[in-house]
Amino acid sequence: MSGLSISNLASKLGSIKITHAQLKKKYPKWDMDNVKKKTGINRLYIASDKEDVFSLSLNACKKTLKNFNKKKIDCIIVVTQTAKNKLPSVSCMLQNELNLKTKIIALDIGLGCSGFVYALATINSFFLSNIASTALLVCSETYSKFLNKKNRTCRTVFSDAAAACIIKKVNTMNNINFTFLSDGSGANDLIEINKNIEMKGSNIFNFTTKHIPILFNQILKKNKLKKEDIDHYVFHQASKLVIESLSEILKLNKKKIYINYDKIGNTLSSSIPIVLENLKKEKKIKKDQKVMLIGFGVGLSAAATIINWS
Amino acid sequence: MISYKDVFSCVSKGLKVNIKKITINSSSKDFEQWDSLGHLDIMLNLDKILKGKALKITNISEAYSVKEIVKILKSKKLLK
Repeated sequence: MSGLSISNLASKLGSIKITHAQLKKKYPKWDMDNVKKKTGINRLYIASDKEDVFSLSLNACKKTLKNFNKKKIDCIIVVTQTAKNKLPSVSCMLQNELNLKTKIIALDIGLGCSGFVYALATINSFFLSNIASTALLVCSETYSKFLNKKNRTCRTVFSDAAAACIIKKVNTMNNINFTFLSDGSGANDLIEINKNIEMKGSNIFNFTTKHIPILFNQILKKNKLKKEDIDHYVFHQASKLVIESLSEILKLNKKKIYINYDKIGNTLSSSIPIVLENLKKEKKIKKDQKVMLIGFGVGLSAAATIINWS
Repeated sequence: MISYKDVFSCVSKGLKVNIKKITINSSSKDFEQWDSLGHLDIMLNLDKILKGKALKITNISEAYSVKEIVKILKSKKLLK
């Protein structure tokens, strides 16, 4: 049987730090205290003019590859929807800049907050078909480049960031399982129009609270596990309201839910790998623990998996 | 079941405006703060007084006017 391991987690946040107090000062008409009550976000990190998806990704990748033999990498996947240029793919640009071998699979996946789990599933299928065994997975977004000044909904929630990690094929007792959901009827709920990203928060909130519990139970069933068997629930770090609502609906042990949205905001596709990086750095995650990953957002799209940490 | 006054109250609290400014004709076009976050506040207020029934109504998250909210709540027999 084939599974996967996640290691060498690293990230790069946008270099401009914006505190709650600074936002309050900058936008006096916005009721920031009320916004904070819902989002739980204290700080945001925004990319500078010099930073973009590629540069943030490159920075995160260099940290990931610091102590890793990059000759082993035979696949690079970048999850992004906000690259500076529509073409070429960021993955090909990174292959060259990082001096990775040319005999490599390089592709971008155009997804947002569910993208990390989708990319894991893609890599896993490459592993199962023996066309790759070691992948560099990168998630990177710079929504701030696509937000107008009046966009309170997005400007108070989203941070720019990139996260990178190494995914390796490992022999396991069981194959890794995934569940997916895609509902394009909600395409307009988070959409970029004329270089401005618009979000209908209440629609996405409804989508999340309606569909994620279903996905949650499906992935448990596929793995023949109960929710008590899971050591860490890693949700996409959407906001306080979303995570707390999911926790309440699913009646989860809050101690098993790691949050970082309060410190760094909603980092979109990077949010799940950044949580894993935090868990690892803080030594909260141990070998053989069961970790549930659930991503959801733009599309609308969602995906879940359970990994045995190794 | 809730009343029109309750709906107006949920909208005014959600948008942080005086209830006197809310009428049956009020919509997101009248208030800058009736954006996605403001709307979420209105939905959460309605959900609270309707004891968890409001957020279960799929199309209410698209209702960006008092008239639309009223119409949806009436169709679900949640409004007097």
